[in-house]
Amino acid sequence: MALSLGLSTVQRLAANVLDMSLSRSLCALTISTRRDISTSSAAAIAVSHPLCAEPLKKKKRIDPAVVRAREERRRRKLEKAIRRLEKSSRQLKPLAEMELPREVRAELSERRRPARPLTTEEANERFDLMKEWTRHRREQHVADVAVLRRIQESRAKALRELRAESFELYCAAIEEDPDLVPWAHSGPTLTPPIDGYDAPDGDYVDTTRRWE
Amino acid sequence: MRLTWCSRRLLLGGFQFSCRTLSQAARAEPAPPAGQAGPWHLYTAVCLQRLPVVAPPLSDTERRFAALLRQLEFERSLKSSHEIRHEMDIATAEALRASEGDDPDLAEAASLQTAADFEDACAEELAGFEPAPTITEADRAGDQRSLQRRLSSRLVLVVQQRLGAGTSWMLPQGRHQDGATLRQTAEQTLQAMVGPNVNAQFLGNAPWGFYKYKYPKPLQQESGAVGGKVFFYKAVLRGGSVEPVADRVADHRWLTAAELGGQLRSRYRRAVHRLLIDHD
Repeated sequence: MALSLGLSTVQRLAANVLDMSLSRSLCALTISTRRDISTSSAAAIAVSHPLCAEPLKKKKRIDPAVVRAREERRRRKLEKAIRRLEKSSRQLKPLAEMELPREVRAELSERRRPARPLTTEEANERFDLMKEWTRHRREQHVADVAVLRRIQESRAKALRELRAESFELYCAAIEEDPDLVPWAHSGPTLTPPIDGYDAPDGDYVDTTRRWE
Repeated sequence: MRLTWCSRRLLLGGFQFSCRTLSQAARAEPAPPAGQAGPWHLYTAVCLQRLPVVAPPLSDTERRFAALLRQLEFERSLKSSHEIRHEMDIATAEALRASEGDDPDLAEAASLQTAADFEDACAEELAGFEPAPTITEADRAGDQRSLQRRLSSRLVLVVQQRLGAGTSWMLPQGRHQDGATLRQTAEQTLQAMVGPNVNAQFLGNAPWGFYKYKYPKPLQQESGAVGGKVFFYKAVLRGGSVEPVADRVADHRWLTAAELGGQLRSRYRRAVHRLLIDHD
């Protein structure tokens, strides 16, 4: 059997040994005794040495300076690539709303309005109105601050009284409320919503230019 | 006027404001020291607000300044494409008149929709849209139970709460029981007064205002407490429906800060007013 497999002498020796042990173990199952040629696959099993392998190549020793130089070059390449990408992100992107469109910039001279000089009365009127507006806004701000202070004081008083009444309830009252923030509210509009208004259908296509 | 008390009801639900006893209490009560003698019953009251739906109309200064800003913006701007097109239409019409209809190109150009036509068509389309009025039916009728009134102001819910044998106009108020925090008591009170379908967002765990009153003598002896301390909680109406519960509340109104004076007692109203925004 080992001969028939075309093995080398050493291999054949090993094979023979195995054949013998296998034959002995199969003795109980088979009638015949030891034989070299077998038609059953079990007796034909052989353990072989690893085939189709080359002896390993000898590892050449690389000069450490050369290794360092290679690493350095690789690192510099990566850094350059990173800098190039970052440069693009550092550049300020143009805002379409803040720039004049190309077509408008081309015909700028035709688009300019004739400058109409102001009369003295008009200029004075505008100046007075702006002053009036400043005063009006300042009054509003002062009133707002007064209202907020009043409300804050009312709250502080309520908490003082609560603390004096029951420390436990006070501690529960000064706990943070996680549902309060973020606060969302759709503010007042110019006209109230129309009951049962059927808004017309439409698609919104976002054409914002994205910069990566 | 002799008042009959149902002590259990009062201890659980509140007590009856009486003009005479309140004024007595106001005169008798000094500036509150740290711990006044005798236990106090704690109550939470809920200031439920409907926020403004519509912006208030501009004042005179605001209107004139807005006009000035529009004028300045117009003067500093460049002509828009629509204006250029309009000028070109006029030039085309002039040229057509000068050439007396000989030039076919000009005639064709003039027959297209002009900028003025386009503007008119846009104006017509806008005129076809009818916005909802800012002064509603409820405003005209003066219906104070409606939420559609005074859309540019904040409205506060005021109820005619049943206390003992009588009723009193106040913010919905409920007695605090042990085992719950004040905020929980406030939420339960609101649901008990105006039904479970109200969608109110409470503004924080802390009370916004404080009011103290003394019980009349017979009630003090009955209940064993000197009086009541009311802590006000603010809430914003987010939706749902306000359905006053008949056996707790006889009537309800939605009032602005200015109209509260007509409905509430003076010292109580001052305590409530202190925690409200009253621009409107």
